[in-house]
Amino acid sequence: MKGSDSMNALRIDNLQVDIGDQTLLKDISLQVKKGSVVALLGHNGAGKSTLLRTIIGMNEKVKGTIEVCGHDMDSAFLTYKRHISYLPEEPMLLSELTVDQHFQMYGLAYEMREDILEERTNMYVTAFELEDKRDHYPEELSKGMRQKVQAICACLPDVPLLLIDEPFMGLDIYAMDYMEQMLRQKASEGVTIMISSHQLELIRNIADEFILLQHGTCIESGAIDTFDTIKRGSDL
Amino acid sequence: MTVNRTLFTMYRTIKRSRFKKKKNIYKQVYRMSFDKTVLLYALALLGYIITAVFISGNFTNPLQNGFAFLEEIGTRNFLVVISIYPLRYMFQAFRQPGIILSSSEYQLSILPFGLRDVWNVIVLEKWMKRIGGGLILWLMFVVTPLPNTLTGAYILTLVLIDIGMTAPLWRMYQQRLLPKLAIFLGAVLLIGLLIYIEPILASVVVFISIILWNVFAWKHLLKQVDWGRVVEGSDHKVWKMPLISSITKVPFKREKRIYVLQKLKFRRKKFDYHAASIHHRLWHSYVLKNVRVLFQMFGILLGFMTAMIFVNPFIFYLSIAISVYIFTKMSASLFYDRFKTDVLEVLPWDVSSFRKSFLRWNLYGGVLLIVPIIAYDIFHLTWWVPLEVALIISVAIYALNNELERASVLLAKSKREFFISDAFVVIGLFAIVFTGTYPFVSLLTIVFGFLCVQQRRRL
Repeated sequence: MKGSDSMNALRIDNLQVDIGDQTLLKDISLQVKKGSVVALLGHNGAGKSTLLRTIIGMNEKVKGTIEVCGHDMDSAFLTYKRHISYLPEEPMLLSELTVDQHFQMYGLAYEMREDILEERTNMYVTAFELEDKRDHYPEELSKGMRQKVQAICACLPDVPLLLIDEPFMGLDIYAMDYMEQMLRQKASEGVTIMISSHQLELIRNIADEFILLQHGTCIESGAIDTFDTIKRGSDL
Repeated sequence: MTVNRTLFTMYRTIKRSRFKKKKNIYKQVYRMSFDKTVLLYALALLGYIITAVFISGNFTNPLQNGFAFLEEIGTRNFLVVISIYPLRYMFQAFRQPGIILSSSEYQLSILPFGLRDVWNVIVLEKWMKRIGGGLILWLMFVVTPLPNTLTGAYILTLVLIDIGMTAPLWRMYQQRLLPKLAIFLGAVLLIGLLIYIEPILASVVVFISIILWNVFAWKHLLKQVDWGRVVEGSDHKVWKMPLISSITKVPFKREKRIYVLQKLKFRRKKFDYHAASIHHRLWHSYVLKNVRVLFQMFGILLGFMTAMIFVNPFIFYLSIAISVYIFTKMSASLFYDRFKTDVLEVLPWDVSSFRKSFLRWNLYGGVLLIVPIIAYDIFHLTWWVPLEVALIISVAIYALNNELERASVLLAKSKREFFISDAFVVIGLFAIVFTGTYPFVSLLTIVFGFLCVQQRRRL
């Protein structure tokens, strides 16, 4: 994952994140090449979601720098954010907007052209079998459907970096299959993907590289083929 | 109604644990907020006052007239009171299901117990508490000069109504808003009319209605129940701790559901694909969610300014300056909060475009605050009044934009000094304070008008 700055989609240096007295992430330094798919691995509480949330700006960092495609988080936050799309673990849908209105909201936030938005929305909605749910509110959808809507939202914009937190949770087998295809497609288009998941077999099929987190620090990284397994918490 | 004993024991354990948890929260907050020595002195003082009251003589003597009055009113209006009392439960049905079935109680139904069993246990416990509470209350009244038969009759009837309204209240809570409103208003009209004709007739009709309603309610007790709403309402009731909330400054908000708006067909339509339409919807939803805070703020500011009209002109203009300051600070904090809440936090919004749509919403609030100013000016009409009003508006717009700019800078995680613009805001606020006493100060409107135009160009 090392390389020159122009080759990197994401660069993190000496990152530390605290909440209250507790340090959640410490001394995280990493670089992710453009177009690569990086699996973020680790036990529950290792800091995977915290890292993703910090990159998107939801968690404040205590120290360190984060750059996406050369844009520093602290000097040009809006430009920086325009380069990232985030799929959270739990759907963050607004109860006041319907499914279609959510897609429009993402389209407008990322300044997408209406025809492109329409085309992509139709494609994803058909693939995820949500055609008859487009004018539904989140409360009228099952958890899996909400996850699908959130996944579509995150995949709509053309961004160089896609952050994905547990994408397969709550999805049926067909949706999981399509999700995998969709991520492969994105990766083939040159999108860098950082994905956190406990579904190791699925992740092995998608990812090129891995980062192993433990107690908020990065303990190992490399090509996904070289990754063995996550040790039991009691063995650490 | 059958009750499972194992379930009852488990339910009691949950309640005991909940009580312990709440007790610990209260303990922690008290430890943080109160000094032991001060508390000890306060208790000693309270003890002294109570002892002094008892030593100084028969404290019930001054209350004798009050008790006599109560006895007379209570006897005369017994039938009226018991006829009206069920309306309290019907009103309660708009917010609470009447029994507390929070997420913890709901979890019990995952175990080998039916929801009906859980419901029975909760109701049985509630009734036992009511009967016990009624008995204790009656014993407390025994020491007062009020006749025991009168207090006994009241307490017994009210407890019976409470028990009798359990199932009707539960069923009514499950109804949609309009049928609920129709039932409530119908009951108010009917009971009012019957009381007017003959109170005894009203009480008889009320009792028969409760019995019939119970027959229906028990038959359909768990049919078409929105458990999500029941659990949400109960969770809010269980964990709402106003004292803790006020000390820790952490509001215990009830999850808002905008059911009524969701029912409107046009709101399901897609937006016109431009930023202004979605901004408008997002602000609309946000304002609805925070409507209580906004009402409080505008109520306080309006009340404050209106009251100051009657003090003196200088104080009134001072109150305007304070209100402008609070209004702009509050608006900016709402603006900032909008981008730190829900999915908007992760989206790369063009904040300046959002700001323009937010200013429109501020205009609605600003118009409200102008009302006391216009009311004052009508009675103190001079040639300076238009300029004074223009000064207040231009300073308010300038200060608001300044605060929103500060919030935008914070959101963009960038750094900028606001020394000069802050200085202008301070000058503007002082100008408002003195414009009542020295009207020529309102000529500064020209300066602030110019500054506002400059601000708008930068946006």
